[in-house]
Amino acid sequence: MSTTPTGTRRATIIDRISLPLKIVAGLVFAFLVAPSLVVIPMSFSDSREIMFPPRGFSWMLYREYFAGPEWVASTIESTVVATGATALSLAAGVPVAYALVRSRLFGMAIVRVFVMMPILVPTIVFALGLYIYFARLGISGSTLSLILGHAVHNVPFVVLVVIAGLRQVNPNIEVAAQVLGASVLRTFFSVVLPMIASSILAAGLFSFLISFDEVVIAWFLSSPRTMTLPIKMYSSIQWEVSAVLSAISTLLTLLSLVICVVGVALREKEA
Amino acid sequence: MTAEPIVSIRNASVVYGKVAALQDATIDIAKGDFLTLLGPSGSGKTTLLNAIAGVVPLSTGQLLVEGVDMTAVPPNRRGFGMVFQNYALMPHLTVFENIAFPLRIRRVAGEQVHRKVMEALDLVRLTGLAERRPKQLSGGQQQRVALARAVVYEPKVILMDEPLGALDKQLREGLQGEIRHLHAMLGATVVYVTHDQEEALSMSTRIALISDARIREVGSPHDMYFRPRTAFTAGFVGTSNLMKGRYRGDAEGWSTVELAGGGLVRGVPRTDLVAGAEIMVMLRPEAIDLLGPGEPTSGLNLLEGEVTDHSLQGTTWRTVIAVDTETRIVVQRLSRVARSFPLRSRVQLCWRPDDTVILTQ
Repeated sequence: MSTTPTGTRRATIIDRISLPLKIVAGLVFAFLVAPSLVVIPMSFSDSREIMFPPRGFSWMLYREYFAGPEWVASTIESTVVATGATALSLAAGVPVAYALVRSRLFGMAIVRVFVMMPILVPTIVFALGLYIYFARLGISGSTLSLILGHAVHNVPFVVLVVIAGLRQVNPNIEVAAQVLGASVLRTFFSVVLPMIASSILAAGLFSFLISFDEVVIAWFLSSPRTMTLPIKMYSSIQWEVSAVLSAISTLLTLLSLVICVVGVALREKEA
Repeated sequence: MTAEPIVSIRNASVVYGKVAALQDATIDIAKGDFLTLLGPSGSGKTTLLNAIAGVVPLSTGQLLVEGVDMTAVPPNRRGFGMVFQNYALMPHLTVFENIAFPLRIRRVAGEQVHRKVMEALDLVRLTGLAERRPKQLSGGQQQRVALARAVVYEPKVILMDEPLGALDKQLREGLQGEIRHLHAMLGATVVYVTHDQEEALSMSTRIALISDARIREVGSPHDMYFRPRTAFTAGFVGTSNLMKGRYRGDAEGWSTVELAGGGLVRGVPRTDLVAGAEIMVMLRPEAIDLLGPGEPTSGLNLLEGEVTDHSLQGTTWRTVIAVDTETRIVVQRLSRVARSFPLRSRVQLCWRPDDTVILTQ
């Protein structure tokens, strides 16, 4: 916070930016968000063709989405995959984050690089690797393979969010808990976890979101039986120009927005 | 029969790579002791405290608790309490649950938990704040919660790591009194870490002076102040004037020292020294009186010098006197009764032989 002890607020760099620069910044912002927002008015169109500006107003495209058995099936598939991947990435990521922040063991730097690998390696390479690996294991095309693939993919994101939360926690609290009589496990579960609960929740929400609209890995790992929603959307646009996509996109945008707002609010609360 | 020490540390060392954070520390802590580990930052005092707590493993040596070897026992099974500089309260728990935490781990029954926590809250004068969160309390209040949490289960020893370091001067003095009171009332055994020598003097029953990873000297606050054994102790505990000299021997119940700057003075006997030994003479600033030139003195040690600085400190006048080209002596006398001397005036410094402490390096 840029407040002095007496409470007067000092001018920040942002306060001193001139008006023309602010206008440029506004234009850049508009350029960035416009493509995401343009689908929203289109989703309320009463025509099956994609056009801009849209004509009329109706909920037709939304009805089409909720009434389409294939759309519902792929939405359920995405939900199952995102939920499973989130659970696994939290189970793996939270202890890893704790170790990375607290351990002074030799070799932690190497562990950090390995954990971040899914971010460092190009997604397409990572997806191909998973595809070959799961084929060897004989589980390619299954929901399980999607869950496992996304779980690995999401671990670094979980780790980064949880590390940020853990950095706010005074390590002496854990020392205190142990001197007061708590075992190592008890300290972790009844002291550390509650203190970073909101970070874990935020990490879980982001993990869910990442998995829910992930395309590249899902493209390699899904089969016609296990099509996730983004894959279904992507393949449907290849066969027909389907206006229902704008309705689905609007819903996805809404989901992302809600999750991001909740996630940011959680992290603010913790800080 | 002498009481068995509650904690005894034998030849303890903590080594990180090639750096020794603690070397060959041996000390006994008796039941009811208020032992302060005093030393400059980085001296190893916190390492020793952490080693007692069990959060830093000993590289070599032993830690006995009531005669039982606890060197390898993890911190949660040592039965100690601990208070930290930055409070280390659990932010997700209320004040009540923070204090109840050690009781819940020990599976104390619900009603008893309630009674004990409330007693502890009364003890630290926080009655009525049980349902607050730590963040809603001031620093001083948070530290009192931490104190309550450390005493509520009657641990064998309470370890305190610079508990008042984060508080401002006024609060610190208030809490010093409370900790001293708590110690006396509960008959608790406390090991207290600080770098503040005044705090160490005012609170402890014993002080262990630590520097460069070693315990240098152990003694009561009174001995550390009035009868330090080394120049390091004299310099670290309180203000001191040091003058080089040579020990001549003991006679008539006093020792005789020849000062390097010339002149003979009498001091506290040191039968352990041989005649001719190089020593330091230590004088506390308040032990010296100032007289005008030629005024009569009787049986006191005497030096002459010139006033080079003279200032009012409130309670005392602080006067600096050059007795030769190298030696400056600081004198502090009660401002309400002491005479004032102008700059550059000649004065006589006189002090009693038993205020003349002879130190080895």
